[in-house]
Amino acid sequence: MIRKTQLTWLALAVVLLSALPAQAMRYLTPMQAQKLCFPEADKFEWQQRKFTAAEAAQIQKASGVALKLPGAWYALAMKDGQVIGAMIVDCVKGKHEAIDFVVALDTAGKVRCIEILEYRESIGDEVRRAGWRKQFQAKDTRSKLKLNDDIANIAGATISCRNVTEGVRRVCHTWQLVLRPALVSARRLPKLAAR
Amino acid sequence: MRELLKFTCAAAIMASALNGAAQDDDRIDALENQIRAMQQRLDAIKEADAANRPPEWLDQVHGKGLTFGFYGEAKYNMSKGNNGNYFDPHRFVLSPGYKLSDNAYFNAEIEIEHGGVDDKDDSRFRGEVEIEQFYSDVKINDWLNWRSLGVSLIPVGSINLHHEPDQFYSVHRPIMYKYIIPSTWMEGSMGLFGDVPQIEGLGWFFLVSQGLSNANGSIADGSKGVRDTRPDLNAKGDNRQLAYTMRLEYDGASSDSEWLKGLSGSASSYFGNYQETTTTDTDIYLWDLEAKYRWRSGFMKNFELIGDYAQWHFASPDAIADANVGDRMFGYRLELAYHHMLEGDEELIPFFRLEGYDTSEGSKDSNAFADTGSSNYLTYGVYYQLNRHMELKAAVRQSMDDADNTEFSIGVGYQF
Repeated sequence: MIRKTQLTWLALAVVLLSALPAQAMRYLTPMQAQKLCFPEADKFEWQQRKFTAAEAAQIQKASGVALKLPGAWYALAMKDGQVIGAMIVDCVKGKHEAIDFVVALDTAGKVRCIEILEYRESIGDEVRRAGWRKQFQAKDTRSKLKLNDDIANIAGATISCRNVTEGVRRVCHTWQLVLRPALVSARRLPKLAAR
Repeated sequence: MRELLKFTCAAAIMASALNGAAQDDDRIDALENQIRAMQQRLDAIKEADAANRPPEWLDQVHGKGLTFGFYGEAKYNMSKGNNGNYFDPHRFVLSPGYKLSDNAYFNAEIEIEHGGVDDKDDSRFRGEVEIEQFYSDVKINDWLNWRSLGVSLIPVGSINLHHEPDQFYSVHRPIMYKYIIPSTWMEGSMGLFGDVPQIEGLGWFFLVSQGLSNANGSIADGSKGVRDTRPDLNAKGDNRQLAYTMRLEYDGASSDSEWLKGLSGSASSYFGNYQETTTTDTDIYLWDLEAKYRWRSGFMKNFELIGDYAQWHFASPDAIADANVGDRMFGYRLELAYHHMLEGDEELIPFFRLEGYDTSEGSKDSNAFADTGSSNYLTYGVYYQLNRHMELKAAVRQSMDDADNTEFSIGVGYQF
């Protein structure tokens, strides 16, 4: 038999829990994220661009990651009329649900930061930890961006860690192959010196 | 003179009218300009607003409704002992998930073991069908989540919580997770969990669950341990008290220190009461300490070391009928693996493990107690990960005590 005192404690715990305000698993909007990623920017210019078949193939080949989205939705961060970087919205799959995230890049294509916008499941959300996300700083298309190699895994959150890592790799290549060249053509960014 | 006056007045009126008309024109022009500027600003705002809104195609990739995951493992075992050689479709597990609301998520696992069951006598399907997990998690904030009433895994040791076949390199789960931590160990339960806000990487879990019972078997020495004392999930009357599990786990991947990034581990304890008969019972207490370290650089890069130790304490061992069960049981594993990284997700992992358990340790007041010793194994083999969804395994579990208990197994595992 379960003791009465145990039941009382359980009942009290349930009442207290139900009284607490619940937090949604949507942590940031893209507009909030842009300010976190580029606090010095004085203007953000949102753009979207659908990929051509050739561009999609190029991104997939270079990153080794399948494209989930038919295009890119991104904000150019501006300061004094100059583009200082871009924040690209992307999503990857967790175990069951999509994980929405953004990758902020400087104009050379190096990662400034990543932010998780929405994590819909209850398991694996350790990818939100700031220290884990910090590992991506300064990575670019020349980095491996591979779990258990240059990115450490979190035990119990392997699927999310791996897929976010691959998502960042895909975004880096999208910037380098498609988005940046378009800005160069529009004379909004200088050409990169040959690597 | 009068004519001149009339003319002057008329001229003044006309001039005034003309001047008024000119002023009106200027005003209208100014207003038109203002309206045009406002229209332009409105168009710009609309355009910016449209760009700020997510494109429709972004939402199309978000799955909606019930989704299913899967993991499973099939094995072929060869042993000198009574089991001989045999196939075993050991586990076939479907895991539904559903987003209940913006802050609640439903998780479950439906498991078919050893080929399943049917209700005929002498059936060829003598496995199990079970609900291994069945709960929802409600997020209150980052450091506090509610694990709802349902069926949850007892959060002791890493393998009981995370036991997809890519979570261990051997064909079988480490043997301490059979008799000491009776994996898969799930109970009717409810709990709380979250991150410790001050220390990034540190998580906690508290679970209140059914306690162990003797309805299906007793705590016993030999190849039983506490395994048979897991209660029926709707057990009535044989659970004298609830059981409480507390777990702290740490993962260094979020740390600034490079050497800590490869470290993960946990400390967990389970406290409950076990009733052997209607008149004899004992408080029981299990603790587990485990740690993994994976080198990220230097000549040890991609080596992984795993240590895991679990121990039971029985406060009144004389309440346990088996004369060979003392006041302790323990299990352990010490493992070294090397990750040979190939292309993409492909990986080849040779491993070597020392593992074992002892279900007859310590002492009790009864003079009949006899320490029957421990069972120890060397387990070694190769794990080959074809991709993130499939792995092939081959391993020997070599008994250091009895050659008949040595087993060679091959297996294939899936998770997606």
